[in-house]
Amino acid sequence: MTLKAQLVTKVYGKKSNVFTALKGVSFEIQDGESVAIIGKSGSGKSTLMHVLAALDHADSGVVSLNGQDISKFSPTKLDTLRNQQFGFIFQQFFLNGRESVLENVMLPLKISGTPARERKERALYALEQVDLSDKAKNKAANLSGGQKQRVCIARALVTKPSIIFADEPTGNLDSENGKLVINLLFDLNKAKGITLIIVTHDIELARLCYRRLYMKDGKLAEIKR
Amino acid sequence: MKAFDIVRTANRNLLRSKLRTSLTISAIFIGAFTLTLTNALGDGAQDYLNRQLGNVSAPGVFYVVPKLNDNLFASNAEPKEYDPAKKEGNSFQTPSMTNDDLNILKKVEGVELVRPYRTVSTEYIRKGDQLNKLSLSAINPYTSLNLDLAAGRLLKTEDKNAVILPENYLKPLGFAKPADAVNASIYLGYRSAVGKIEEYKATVVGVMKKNLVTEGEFHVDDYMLQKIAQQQGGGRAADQFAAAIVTFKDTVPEKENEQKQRLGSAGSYSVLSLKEQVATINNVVSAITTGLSLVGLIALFAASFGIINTLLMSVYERTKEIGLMKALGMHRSSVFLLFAVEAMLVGFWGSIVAIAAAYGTSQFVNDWAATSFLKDFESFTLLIITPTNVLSVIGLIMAIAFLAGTLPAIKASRLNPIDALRSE
Repeated sequence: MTLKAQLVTKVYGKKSNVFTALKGVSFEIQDGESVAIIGKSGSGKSTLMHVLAALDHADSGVVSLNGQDISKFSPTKLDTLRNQQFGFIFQQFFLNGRESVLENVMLPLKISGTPARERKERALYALEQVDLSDKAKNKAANLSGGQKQRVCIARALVTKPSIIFADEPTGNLDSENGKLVINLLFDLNKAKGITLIIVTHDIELARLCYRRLYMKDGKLAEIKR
Repeated sequence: MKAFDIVRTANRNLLRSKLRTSLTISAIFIGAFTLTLTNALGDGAQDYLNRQLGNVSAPGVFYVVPKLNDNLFASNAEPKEYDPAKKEGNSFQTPSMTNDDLNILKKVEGVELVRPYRTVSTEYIRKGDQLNKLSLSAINPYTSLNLDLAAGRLLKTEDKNAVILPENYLKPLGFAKPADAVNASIYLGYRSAVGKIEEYKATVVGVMKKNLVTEGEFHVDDYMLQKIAQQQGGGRAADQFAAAIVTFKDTVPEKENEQKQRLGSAGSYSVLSLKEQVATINNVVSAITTGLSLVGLIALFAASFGIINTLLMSVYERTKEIGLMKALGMHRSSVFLLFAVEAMLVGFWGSIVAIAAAYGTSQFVNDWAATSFLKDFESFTLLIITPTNVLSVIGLIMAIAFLAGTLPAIKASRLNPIDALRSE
């Protein structure tokens, strides 16, 4: 799945309080690539990810997926796109602590209306891939940070996405767990050809990516291989 | 998201903060409980009235009386010329129906039977083989009402000298149980036109249960009434009646209005169907129960704010979760439904618990009432909880809860996933 941004701008606020987060960003991400979006806080890197992931819309410019302008998609089609084609990993995990690990991983399938039995099978398989099969019945709140992020990876994987968006995936983890999570992500990228788009300010992590997009003041400062 | 999953998820979310949910549910409970019981009271009274006042579904039977003309002595009106062909009555003087009127009514299209509704005054009643006399106020003519009987049968058109005895006369007359009185001979004492006491022999065909409306109501056939009336008032009095009872060949409810119109236009008559007579009393009962139901509705109205409040808090608490679900592709409509269903479930559980409690209460109250203030009215069940009552209470409350849930649900469905996820 090719993701392409052409002169994308994004403006927040109104009149006197206008803040331009993206000032005409253009690039292309090929199927199966791993790309890091790097920049200081406020550089617009998170905004860029949100626009690419169809969580937010660009104010001008075009984001296209396999040549199709996603701003022309209906809200329902965008929902389905995020559900089926995209996987999300967040710094703060966003797991439901009261529910079991399995329930958390099944959430995207529940949203898509997958039958209960298939949901469970696929969630268990996803948990196997992040090596957490034995924790399926545990409450998510009782896991360690590293385990939680692995659950999030399983949740992102469960719909067999084409692209995984990871927003500071190692931000809340110690270096050992961080490495574990990074290895897992790159394994998936290589073994399954899932495109990785990682937003980070961690240079170490960024170096592991095939390409790096440096953001500065809402502009793309540099693209490095 | 599938409907089943929405309901299941909503129900699980309710259980998250059990105290808050149970408090909201108890507010609903109070309204639902009140509403169920007032409905049950209405149904109980309605059921009793229907049995006491006869078969409401006896269409095609009408009471016909001369039309009252109250303008005769209205402040500005001058006395009118006397017209022998026109019967004019007023509040002080009720005109009578005559045989001429009966003949007119008989000719109305579709009429099968016209019977006079006579009233006579009586003095006493005594059992055939005993001499002690019991006082007796009035006796009623045969109507098509389905009386609530303890024994025996109802009157028939062809009956001669048949009587239906009220239950409270059994013991004074020396009958051990209702069935003993059936086929027994009784004598009715009355004063003739010249003031002499006369007796009339009749046979008991049925015994009527006690009821709320009248104490000791006797029902006798028309043949007997006519005979007594002739003795009491001479030939002329016997030919004047309070009303005529008209029965149509077609006894379907749909034709009632048309039949009523036909009778009304046959002369200067006021026409009242049996159904309307019962309906008049039913209206009083419904007015009372509606008033009580209003209390329940006000409680529900207050409770609906509890639902709004609870769900709004829930939306704020779950902002991130909602944001995540939307980011993961949940449609706005599903988010809306999730909260709307949650509100409806509050209503559902509240009404279920309330109905169960109301059912228990009704059993207790009915048992108590049957042994205390309703002791004499054996066919009166004070509180009757019908399936219609149950379903309408659940339906109404779930609808109110849904409406209350729309505000929080819209709020949740409009959350922007990025803002929701970003909020710390």
